[in-house]
Amino acid sequence: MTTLQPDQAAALGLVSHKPRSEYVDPATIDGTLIDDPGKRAPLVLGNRDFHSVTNTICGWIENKTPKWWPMAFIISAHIAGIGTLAILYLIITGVGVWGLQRPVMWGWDIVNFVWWVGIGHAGTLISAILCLLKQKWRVSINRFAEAMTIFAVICAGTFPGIHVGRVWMAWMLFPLPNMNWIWPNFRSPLLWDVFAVGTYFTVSLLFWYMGMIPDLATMRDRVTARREQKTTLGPIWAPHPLPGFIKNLTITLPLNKIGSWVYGFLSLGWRFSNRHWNNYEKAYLLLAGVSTPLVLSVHSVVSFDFAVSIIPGWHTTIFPPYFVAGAIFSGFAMVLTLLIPARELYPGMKDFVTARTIENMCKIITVTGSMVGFAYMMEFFIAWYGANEFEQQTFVRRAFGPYWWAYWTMVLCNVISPQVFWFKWARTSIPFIFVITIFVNIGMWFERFVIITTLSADFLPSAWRYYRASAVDVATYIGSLGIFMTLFLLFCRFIPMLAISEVKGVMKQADPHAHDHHHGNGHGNGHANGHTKGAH
Amino acid sequence: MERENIALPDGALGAIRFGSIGLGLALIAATFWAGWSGDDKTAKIALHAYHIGFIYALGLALGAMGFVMIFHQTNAGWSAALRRQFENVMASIWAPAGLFAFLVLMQWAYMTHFKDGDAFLFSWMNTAKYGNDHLLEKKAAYLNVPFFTVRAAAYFIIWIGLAGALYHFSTRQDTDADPRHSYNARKLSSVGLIAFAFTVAFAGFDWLMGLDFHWYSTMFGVYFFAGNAVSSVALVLLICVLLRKFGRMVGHYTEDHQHDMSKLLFAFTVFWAYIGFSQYFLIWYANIPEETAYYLVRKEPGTIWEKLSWALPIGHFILPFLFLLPRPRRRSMGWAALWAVWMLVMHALDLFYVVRPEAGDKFHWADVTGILGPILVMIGFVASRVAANPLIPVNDPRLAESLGHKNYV
Repeated sequence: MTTLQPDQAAALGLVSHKPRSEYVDPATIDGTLIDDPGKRAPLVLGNRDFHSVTNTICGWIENKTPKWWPMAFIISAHIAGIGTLAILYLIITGVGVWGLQRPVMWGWDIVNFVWWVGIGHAGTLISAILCLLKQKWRVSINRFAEAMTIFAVICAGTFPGIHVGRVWMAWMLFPLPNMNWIWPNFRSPLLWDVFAVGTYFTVSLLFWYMGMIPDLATMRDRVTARREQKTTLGPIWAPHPLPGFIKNLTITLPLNKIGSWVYGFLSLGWRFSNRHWNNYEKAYLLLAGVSTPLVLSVHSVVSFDFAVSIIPGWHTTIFPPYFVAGAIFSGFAMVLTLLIPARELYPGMKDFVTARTIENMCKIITVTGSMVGFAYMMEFFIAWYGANEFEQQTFVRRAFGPYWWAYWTMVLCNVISPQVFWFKWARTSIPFIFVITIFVNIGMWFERFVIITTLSADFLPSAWRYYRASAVDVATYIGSLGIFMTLFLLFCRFIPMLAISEVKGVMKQADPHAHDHHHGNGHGNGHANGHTKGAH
Repeated sequence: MERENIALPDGALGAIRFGSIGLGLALIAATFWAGWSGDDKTAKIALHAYHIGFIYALGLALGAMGFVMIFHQTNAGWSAALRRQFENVMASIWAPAGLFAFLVLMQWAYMTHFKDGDAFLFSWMNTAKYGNDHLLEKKAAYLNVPFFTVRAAAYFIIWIGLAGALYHFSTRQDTDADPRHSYNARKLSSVGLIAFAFTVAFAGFDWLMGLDFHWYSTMFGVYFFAGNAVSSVALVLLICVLLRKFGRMVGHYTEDHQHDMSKLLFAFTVFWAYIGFSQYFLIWYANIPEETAYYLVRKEPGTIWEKLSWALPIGHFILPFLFLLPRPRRRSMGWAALWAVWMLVMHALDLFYVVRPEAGDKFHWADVTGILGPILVMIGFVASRVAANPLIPVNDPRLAESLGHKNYV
């Protein structure tokens, strides 16, 4: 116990002296939703005060790197490297290295693009729409989900960029004035994608960064207090015996000084003043308002890529809202896929990301999954009702043609698997939820795959061809997962994963009308942040 | 005093209840007579006009039912105090059920009266004219009178069952204060919402999209729901503001509740525009004959439909969007009520735009009576529900939370 740093002690949850029952209703000790309609489960558990919240969340960054992190980082970075090599090979050789061939001219690249953009929807939904809906349980996951959004959109943006073939001409996607008066086709949905995804990325990044400023300032203050402390790295751990001079090598770096400068620069002179908070709240609300239509518009525009065409199975008017529902569905699944391990690995995180949060997310997965299922059924019904033979043939072929396995994988993963969350045991069993989220991730990938394989049987039967992805396709896709995970691990290591000030805003101590005016032990200990915030 | 605040005196709203229903029935009778005494073209107009009114009344009840179930399902706290008004509109589903029965009667009467004429609401029923239509042959398994009747009966059984049970839970709780009713309502809503989604979508297909049986759009069920959501929120908002104006629900329907109701109105106005735009845009861009026929009629230059094609995006979206955007206007009961009325009118225009072109572009006074009659009957039913029970669910376990609801920031 004596070897623990103070932050570590907080992170491990050892600072809670008082018995939990003093604050928390025993029925809701784990934060699960209770069936009594009049009661609400608490949002932050573990009898925490403001000080311990700051210590815990900052502790994840300040403490010694956890043992699993370097290993995970090395693996992810290597996978990212494979993806980068695959892209390099593609650029050097040409798009022919992919499995694309007439009539399937859109293959895994567009599948991956739409899949990643879809995943990128959860962050903004949680931070913008749930903010406008005053869903306070979102505060413990919004930072996390927004980071995921940014990285997913980065991965998404790669695919159309490399699909253009001559990557060095990709700048022509933008309507830039040039000497030859060549403009992109403004009637093409691919150009709208550039605007839609570009706007979404910019606004999401701004929203994420702006929300982070107070927490970055907290990090700045804490690291500046230890500015002169030097950090010693090493000796290196390796699976094989190394020569002594390498094995015992240590290196001392002024990391705190660097950290103080970097966090100081990024926090833009934030001083926790009342006026700062006032501007912050206003900006937050405005950005939430601006982001809300973007959540709908991005995936609607992506759906236009397919739906404005006259290809049977692609042209159907329900595509925009159906794609948006699917995007939220897959985004929430991906947030849970990442959140569940993080919750286990970071001590104290379960006090914030409670069983109630997880349960709510499961419910959203069921709702959006059912919406997607509803849309599948509408598509089928109207394909029959529309009495267009090509349309009908396409749908029969989807379910019973050569790609039947993809179709039924999609139905199983997207429509059937989320229905288990109707049952409370399923919504509260963490390993089970994890498995279902993986199912959903797979299912949503297949949803787009099912759409593109429609092309394999076009209007000219002699041209029909079974589409297969090449090894480069697979490597690029796996590589994009590596890029995503690498960025995500860096986020976990260097940025407060939870929005500290927002979490404090939903705690009991922040409520000026709470019956017990117990403000916790952290009051007046020099950490000013959070105290000025009322109920958010 | 407290009791006066949350209940209307016995026999209140009598004038509205009886006056509205009486006038509505008279207008319906006049509409029927107009069709009966005229030629088959007039009968067709009367049928379509009455159909608009019927769908309008039905949409109010359906939209309100959707909201009640969503409130239960999400365990919503803020809305507990004003949920009763949604329930009143929802429970008036009996009015559209009766109106539908009259619609069937009217269709049957005209069908027998104008033996060789085209006095049909649904053109696919006119076998004399469309019997050899290729598309109708293909769709005959769905578009036939027995199956149509079974579906209509099934919709109403499901809706009346859901509305009745939810209303029962809520009003029973007023007397026995048992929180289990809320729990049961939540359980029912989970299954109910699924049934609701399918029945509303297929009712939209059957009763609106099916007016022109050649046309189809996967989005149409959602479009039908979006319009209903707007009109029902607008109506409930109006009821709440009127009750406040007459000194009721003071402290129960506060400025903060008003703010949230306006937000709902705003959100679903935008949602309607999003769905309507997506449907129009995809059909316009793809430009394939079987779909564009629907919009071609409505964009015929010089017709009233063309003017409505402009009026709807402006009046049903742009103006309310701009006016409801500033916070003070959403919090002001007067302004919000004004926009609620505006949206109720716009919703009628929207249905007019969807239904009426199918009966040609000649107009008749039956257009006015046919649309107003069913709506007035519905208003009378809603008024009698409002008068019948306490204005708030007095023993709802979330009531305390709802009364303390605040919109910070």
